[in-house]
Amino acid sequence: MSGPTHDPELTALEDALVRLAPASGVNRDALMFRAGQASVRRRAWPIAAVASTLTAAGLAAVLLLRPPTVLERVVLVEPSPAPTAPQQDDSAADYLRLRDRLERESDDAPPPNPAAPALRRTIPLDALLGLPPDAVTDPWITSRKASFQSGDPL
Amino acid sequence: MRTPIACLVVLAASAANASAQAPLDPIKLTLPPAAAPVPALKYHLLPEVADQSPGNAALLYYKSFAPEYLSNMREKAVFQKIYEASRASPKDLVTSELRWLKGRGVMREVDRAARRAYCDWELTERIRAEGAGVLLPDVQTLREFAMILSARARLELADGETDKALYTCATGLALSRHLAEAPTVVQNLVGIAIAMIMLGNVEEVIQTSGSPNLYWALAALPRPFLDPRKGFQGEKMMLFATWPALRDAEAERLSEAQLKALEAAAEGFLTEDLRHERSEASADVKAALAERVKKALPESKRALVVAGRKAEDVDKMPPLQVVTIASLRRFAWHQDELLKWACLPYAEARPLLEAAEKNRLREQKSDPGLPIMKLMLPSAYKVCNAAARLERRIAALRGVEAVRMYQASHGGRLPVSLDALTEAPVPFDPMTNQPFVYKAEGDKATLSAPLPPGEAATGNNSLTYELTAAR
Repeated sequence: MSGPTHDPELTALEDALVRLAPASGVNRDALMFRAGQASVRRRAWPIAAVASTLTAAGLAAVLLLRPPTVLERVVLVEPSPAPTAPQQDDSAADYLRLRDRLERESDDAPPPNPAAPALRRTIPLDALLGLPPDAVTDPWITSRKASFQSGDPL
Repeated sequence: MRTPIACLVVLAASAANASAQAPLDPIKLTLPPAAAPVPALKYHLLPEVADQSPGNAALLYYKSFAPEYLSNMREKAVFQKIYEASRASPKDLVTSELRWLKGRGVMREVDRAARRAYCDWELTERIRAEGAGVLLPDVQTLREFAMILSARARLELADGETDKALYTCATGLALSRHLAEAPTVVQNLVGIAIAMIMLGNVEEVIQTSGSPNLYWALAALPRPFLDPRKGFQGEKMMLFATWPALRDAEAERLSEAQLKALEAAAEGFLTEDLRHERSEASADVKAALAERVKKALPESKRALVVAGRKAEDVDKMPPLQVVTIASLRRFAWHQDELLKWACLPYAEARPLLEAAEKNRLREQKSDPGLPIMKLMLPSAYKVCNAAARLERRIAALRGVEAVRMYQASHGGRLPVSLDALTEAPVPFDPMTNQPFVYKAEGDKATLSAPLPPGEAATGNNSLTYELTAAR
């Protein structure tokens, strides 16, 4: 088994190192704390949470404590007659009278001559085309004109 | 807007040219013999399913309303000629100048409409919104179509075109059924009137030499041919649709606005009642209402308490509200008491329906409350009676055709009694559920509908065919 080596150079270095002393003013504990503190990233959420809580509380307070507001607008009201009968009164009466009449007269008698209704004028084709009356004389067109007015096929 | 209905009222006013109180004149028919067709169901008086195409008939009916289609037919002189032709005997139309009528495009539209798979007049929602304010100006033009179809059928018979005349009759009968599918009594009654016109044309066909026997075509028609119950259901919607304020009448406590609306509705009823009675239009409606309410209040209060309301609550109500509630309840009760009988075959319901109608008339006469019943309740008896007379005429025509079958196998002679008919049965009269009365003498006979027990003959309960064997 070999013993310790007594190299003079190494021994001198050893002695020199032993003589070294830490610089004064360095606090080890403080250094370690600062190192740990530096290793953690700062987060903004607590600040945001606090800020929004404070905002909400502020708004709630405003809402509860504000004075009642009155909305004003101008409404034009037409003077209306005193209510009498519903608007549809007249036509309702028409239906009811017609029903009464048909009920009374629902007999076997053949229906009457439904008196010729008032002649309803139709717009002549000439007028629709912006032409003077009877301006269209072409047989092809007049046959279509007649068909148009009577509704019958050509 | 009111003009068309007002016009219709005037036209309807001329509708009855025979009093319902006088018995109808016998319908005279000269009968050529005709055996049953082969195959039996060869002829139709209503378009069959195979003849129908998809779509809503109302669309085509309204298409045919185009003024361009109708304008020249509404010339006064032309219209009068069509009217006369619609009632003329075909033999008087052989030289008619109205032949052009047979090919008119407008009536082809009506032919197409009659052969659509269904007909929806889209009136239910209108009634829900407008109540009795709904306008029906189209009904008059549909009546005109019936007249034109009648003229066309007779012109076709004059030209020996029996098949075409039957086609025209089928168009008219389909139109009448389409009208009867509408939810108003007015349209139902017009449908019945149009069907009657078409049966008049069927009678002309029957009298035409060489015409087919229509026994099975008549038997194939739906029974009942027209059912007025849908019209009654539509009428039931009308009260609250016309007077929405009445919906609030039963409220525990009415607001001032509700009470004013109720007052307006009540005044509306009284105004219309005064018009109905042809009283002075300038009558003080407010005073009349106040008087009615005062008069009806004690009985109305009593009725509400009997029905379960607390007397002290009723005392706190405005008098108008009390009277309105009582009037509405009376209306609702009588409405169902009447309309329930329309659910039975007419022969079963007739005496009970008539009694209910009489009771209603008696009640509404003595009712001091609001005239709701008087104004809003249709005469179920008259409507059902009209529908039943249509059924009776169809049944009687089946009897006539059974007679023609007999003639075909007996040298043209009329049977001495209905018992002699073996080819096809004569149906019972649907109005009385009794057999038709047949009396023969030589080459003449009568087929009469029996009168309801205890009734004298009137236009509403009698029907007689006077039959003569054709030589």
